Amino acid sequence: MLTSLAGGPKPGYELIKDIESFAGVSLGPGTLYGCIAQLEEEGLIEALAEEKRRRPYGLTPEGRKILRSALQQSSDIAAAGWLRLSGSGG
Amino acid sequence: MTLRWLHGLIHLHPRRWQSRFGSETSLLIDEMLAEGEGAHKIALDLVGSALSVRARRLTNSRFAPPGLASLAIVVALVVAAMLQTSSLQPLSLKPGELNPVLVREMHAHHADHVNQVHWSTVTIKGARCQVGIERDNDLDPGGPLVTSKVTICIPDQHS
Repeated sequence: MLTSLAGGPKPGYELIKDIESFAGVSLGPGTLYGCIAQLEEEGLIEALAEEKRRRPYGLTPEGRKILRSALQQSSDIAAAGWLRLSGSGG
Repeated sequence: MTLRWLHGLIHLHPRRWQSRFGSETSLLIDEMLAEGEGAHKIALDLVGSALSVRARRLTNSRFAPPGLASLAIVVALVVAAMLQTSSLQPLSLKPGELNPVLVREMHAHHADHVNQVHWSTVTIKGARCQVGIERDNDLDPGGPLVTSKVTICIPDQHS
């Protein structure tokens, strides 16, 4: 969800479609708002002003920082994985 | 297409969650249905979400407890929903009438006793009622309850 919001604020349905397009994961409404509630509580995302009954959500500076850190960690793990695979002849 | 029962599943969530995300979730459900998403898939997700939110509140943990605890919460949610539904129906019981659910419950509690009237006090629509069960088959004391006499006394204002 943080990755999706890194591309700009989005309301619920746009978030679902975007996450589906790059992660292949289809979230339901309950899961989506459960996740939003948790991230909002942790101060990583924030609700923006409502537009046409739809409330967009955006990354907070803290959310951006956490995303950078998480992506870096994923990238390090992926690099280590590729290295080991190539070393073992895979 | 709007399916009212699907929107009703939002009410399985805690009140605070409902007031914060209820209308947004409702709108999202409509959007997903309009895009051809399956109602059952959405329903399962909503039930799962309610379970997760409530479990988190109960355990004060980020993650829902697995296994039996989750199952217990699902059962509790379903029972709560059933009770809520039944409480919306007008009370039609009169003295002497039988409420199958009540009778079944009473049987379960007093199945071991024979030839005795067991009185229990229960609350129906806010009124304290006396429910008496008499088991009259003593042929096989340890066996299943074959016949019984059930009396329900309900105060006049509720009869």
